[in-house]
Amino acid sequence: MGMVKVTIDGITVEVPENATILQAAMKAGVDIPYFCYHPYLKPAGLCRMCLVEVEGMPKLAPACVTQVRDGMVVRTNTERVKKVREGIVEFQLLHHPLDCPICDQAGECYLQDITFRYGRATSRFVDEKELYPTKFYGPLIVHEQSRCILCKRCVRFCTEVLNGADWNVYWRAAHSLIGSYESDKVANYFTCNLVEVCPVGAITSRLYRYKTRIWKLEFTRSVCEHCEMGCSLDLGVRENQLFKIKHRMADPSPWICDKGYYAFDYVNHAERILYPLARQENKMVSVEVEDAVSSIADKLKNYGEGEVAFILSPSLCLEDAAAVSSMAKAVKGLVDYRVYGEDYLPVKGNVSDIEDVESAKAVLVVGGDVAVSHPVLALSILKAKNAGAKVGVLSAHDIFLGERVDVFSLLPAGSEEPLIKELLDGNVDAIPDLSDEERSCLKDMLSGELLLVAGVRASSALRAAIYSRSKEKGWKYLFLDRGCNAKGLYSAGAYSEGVGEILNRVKEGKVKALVVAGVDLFNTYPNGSLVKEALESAEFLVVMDLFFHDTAMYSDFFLPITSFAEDGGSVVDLFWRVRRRNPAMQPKGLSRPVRDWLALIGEAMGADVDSQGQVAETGWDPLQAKAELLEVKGNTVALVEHAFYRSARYASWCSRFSEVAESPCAYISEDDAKALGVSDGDKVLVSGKGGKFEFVAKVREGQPKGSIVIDAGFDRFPVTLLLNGSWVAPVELRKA
Amino acid sequence: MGEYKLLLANVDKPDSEKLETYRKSGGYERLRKALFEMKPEEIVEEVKKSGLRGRGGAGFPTGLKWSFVPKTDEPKYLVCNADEGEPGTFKDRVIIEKDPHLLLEGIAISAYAIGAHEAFIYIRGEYEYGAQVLERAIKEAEEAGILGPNAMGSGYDIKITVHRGAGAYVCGEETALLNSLEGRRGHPRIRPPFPASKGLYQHPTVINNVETLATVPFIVERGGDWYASLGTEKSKGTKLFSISGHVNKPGVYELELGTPFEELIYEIAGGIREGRKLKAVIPGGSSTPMLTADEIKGVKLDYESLQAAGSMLGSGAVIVMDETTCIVKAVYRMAKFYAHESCGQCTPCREGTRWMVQILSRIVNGKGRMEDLDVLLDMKNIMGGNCLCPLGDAALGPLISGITKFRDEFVEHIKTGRCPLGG
Ligand SMILES: Cc1cc2nc3c(=O)[nH]c(=O)nc-3n(C[C@H](O)[C@H](O)[C@H](O)COP(=O)(O)O)c2cc1C
Ligand code: SF4
Ligand code: SF4
Ligand code: SF4
Ligand code: SF4
Ligand code: FES
Repeated sequence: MGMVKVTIDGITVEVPENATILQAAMKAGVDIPYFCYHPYLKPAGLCRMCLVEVEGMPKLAPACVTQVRDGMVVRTNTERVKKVREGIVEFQLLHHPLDCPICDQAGECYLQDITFRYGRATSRFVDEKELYPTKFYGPLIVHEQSRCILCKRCVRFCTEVLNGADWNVYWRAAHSLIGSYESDKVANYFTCNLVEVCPVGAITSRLYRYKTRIWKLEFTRSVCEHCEMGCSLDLGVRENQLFKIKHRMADPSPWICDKGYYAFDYVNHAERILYPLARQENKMVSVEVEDAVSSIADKLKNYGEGEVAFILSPSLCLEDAAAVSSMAKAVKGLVDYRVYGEDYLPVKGNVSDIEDVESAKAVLVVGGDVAVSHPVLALSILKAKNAGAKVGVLSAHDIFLGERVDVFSLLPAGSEEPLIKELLDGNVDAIPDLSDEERSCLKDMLSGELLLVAGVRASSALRAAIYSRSKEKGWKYLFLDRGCNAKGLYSAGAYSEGVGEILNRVKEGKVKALVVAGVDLFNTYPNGSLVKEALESAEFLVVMDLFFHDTAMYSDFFLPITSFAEDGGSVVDLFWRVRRRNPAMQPKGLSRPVRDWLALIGEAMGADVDSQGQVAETGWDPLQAKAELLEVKGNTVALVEHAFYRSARYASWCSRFSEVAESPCAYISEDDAKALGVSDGDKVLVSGKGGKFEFVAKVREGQPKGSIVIDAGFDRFPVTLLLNGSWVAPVELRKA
Repeated sequence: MGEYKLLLANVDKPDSEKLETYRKSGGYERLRKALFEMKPEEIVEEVKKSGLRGRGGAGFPTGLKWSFVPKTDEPKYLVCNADEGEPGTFKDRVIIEKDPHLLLEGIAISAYAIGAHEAFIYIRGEYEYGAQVLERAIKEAEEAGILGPNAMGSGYDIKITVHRGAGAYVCGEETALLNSLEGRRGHPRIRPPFPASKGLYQHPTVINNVETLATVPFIVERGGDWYASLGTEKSKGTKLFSISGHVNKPGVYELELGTPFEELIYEIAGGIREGRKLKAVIPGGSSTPMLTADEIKGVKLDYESLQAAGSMLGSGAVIVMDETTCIVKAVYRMAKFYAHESCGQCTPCREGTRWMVQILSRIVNGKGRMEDLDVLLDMKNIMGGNCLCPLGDAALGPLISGITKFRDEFVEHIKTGRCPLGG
């Protein structure tokens, strides 16, 4: 790219020839005010706040859309520019409510800042302001329509980044209003970005509404704990309460998802357990830290080799994992983090960063719903698509990406894996429900440069197939893991034969003492009855967590741990980068990180607990896997998946976030719906191995007959009872 | 100078919209000539020579516009702008309804000249009858093998599609039109890129007005030099004028460019109603600055003369206002139009047009303040040239000219709280 010289207010800078005046000005350190410009959206030239004088051009030029020329001379400090800026600000304020004292944006509002800096002191406006009512769009966002300056950033985000969402401009002229066409509830998994891109207090977060003033918050940089993307987050804390999350650093992506932005208020939740608890008779009572530690240490000391096991959340930090591993070693116990029943371990992909994904020529996603498991990755894949890549999604469940890409098939829940395997073996016709166009596109994808993304559901056998085929064809591959730190837990050696194996051993009485940290197994392990039996059989159970969840009900001791906002640990992200979280607040009550509890217990036992985590150089070799492809047969086969708004950690204690998913849904095919006489919104009953559950039917186009997808993650709704070790099981479907 | 029937030669014939009638007077022979005897570049050359300028309002040289289309293999499109939304303009309608085949022939030749196989006629939603006429005419021409695949046996495919707008004035602006045609909101696009390089579906596109395209067959038939012999030194050919308001014979007239303004008003259009005196004229559609009776004396109807007089030829829509007209009300009415039709994308136009209406409404209702005039005049500094598309500037046309030329009338409204004309 050629470079050109531009002079702005006498300062000469060199910039790429395709730069805009605004970018050049940023480089020169000259402030040009703007509203509609956004560094990660296409320039739109709408607000006209950025008008500047360019030598030789009769009209003022909008700096955000005007490309530089070599030798261009730009002036921003002239009387003419000053007057126009005053005029634009005056115009923006004519009908603006200026209710800054109760506006959540106050303090970080472009309109406030620009008015202060470039506006005139008095207004010439004497007519009546036209105001519009406030609109609530479900639990996540509220739109103060009168505060909207119509910069269209939010709309542009929806069109350019989400490739379409129900959010646009309606009406016209000064009566233009931003909003949705048919949705009363706007919750598109990436809703928070609307709040983040809005330069004023028009779209704000309902979670933060009227909570506190932005300047009262102290922000600390941290990393999201809800998935492996490891989005950089800034945590806003006041008086040891976490109030707000912002995404100020575009790492790894300029965008985040609703989990990162909304699923944090559990940190302040009143139900959080802040003191150690011990079982006395049939009640849990609060005990002193020292007593809890010494009692636990005494107990654990007495068990022999293989009699103690540790089950950890894949989202615990590296240091905690290292501590658990070292403790497990000390007591010669077992440890595993694969609480979702995974039979695979992290594989190091040959994709080194998100840019590699965004510049891929073709991307095929199989065996999982990336928009739920790794939301922002779905946006990067769309970015690749918008740059010309062909994208395909072949999965038994999908909520976002599939309908936006070139090739999309919802596979039957029970035979997802064999079908994908067949495809990898070259049989494109194995994939059902593709148009001719999709089929030929898929063929092209498989014969060229391809990035294969293996979703979190893909079993070790499927991973092995993907891995060997990719090696053979020279494809890129990316293997996704559950939780936010599976790679860290793997690095710390926190794995053995799988969580299922541990639970079985507990049930059989071989493992006598169990420590569960950071996870409610009833919510995660795909066999609720096994979890129940194991917990009932355990001689001694210690649960370390924030809340007294279903697993904790069985515990002998409950130790309160810190949340991600307090603990200051590190995680290993999707691309094997170590990401440090800075502690944003003091540990609440007597809570402390897992590693600290273990250090205390270790000390009392005379064992050394080491919490220095090292990141593994290499990943797991999937070719070692000896398992079979997962296949489940039955008249009706159900895939159980966490609904997006129930898939964050501690979602049940996240108020607005979990409110979005009101009731558990069952996605069923048009054929099944017809056969059962069920229409969209009706109640259906799904019964299976360990119970019977009621769902709201969602009749879905493209859903294969005899295959259903049901939501997990709802409170007091243990659908894992239907399962037998994997997330797919035969069930019976009836009209309720 | 004076009336000259070129475009309007057929319109008074019975069944003028039928293919049969059209063919009798040599219809589609110009297309045949173009397809069989001329190379696309030659047509562009003739149009350049003719000096034809766009009749949609901006007056951009047509041949030059065509020459910006890149000579690549990608699809190209021709779009005929039949949105005719500028208040006072109703000239395209005559061609559409009375001589649709002339327009189709012009479109076909022009499409061939720029290498387009697909052309769209974007017609304003209110022209329902016109759209029907055009659709019937396309069908007739396709059935006769004139349009469609292998047009007239030439091996060149020309498909013309009629697309009805939904009534927004801004959709006459060429880039808003393209968005609307693509099924998006009719919001103007930022330029560059210009439609000639990235237009409809991001492919090279030429957009021309109905009248412009309807002129092309005559240039092909008789040559660019012949066309250039009509009109004045810099404004070539003939132009349709839609004259409305307080004249005895409002209507559409075709004049050689350079015809005196007064000849149109006092002779051709039969003079001012009821023998009243002329007060002001809007010469080229509501967005062109108004001229007083004095200012049009000796002025000719062509691009340069009107520019020299401080206004524009625009779309040739002459709105005549006699001495009974309240200029404040007229300006208010036009401001309301722009405030209603602004697409709302850019701040100066969206907010400026609304504020204008609020202030003017107060003045009309006897609640004006002298400061209001300063604010209204200052709109020019904030909006003028600073908007995303020309609509914002258009809204300033009647406002600024009205206040500067008839300031006393505004002052009187403000001071007395009443309309001096009793309106
Ligand atoms: C607000 C606005 C409305 C316009 N409406 C029309 C219209 O109705 N018909 C038209 O031909 N041109 C209209 N134009 C001009 C077009 O943008 C464009 O310049 C014209 O169609 C080009 O054709 P021409 O070169 O043949 O004149 C409008 C322009 C603006 C800014
Ligand atoms: S959007 Fe900005 S200017 Fe408007 S009320 Fe809120 S803080 Fe004030
Ligand atoms: S809601 Fe916010 S981001 Fe959207 S257009 Fe209005 S001001 Fe801009
Ligand atoms: S859940 Fe994943 S994608 Fe969403 S913000 Fe957190 S790290 Fe980013
Ligand atoms: S000038 Fe008016 S019509 Fe044109 S883009 Fe701006 S708001 Fe829309
Ligand atoms: S920032 Fe340039 S027009 Fe809005």
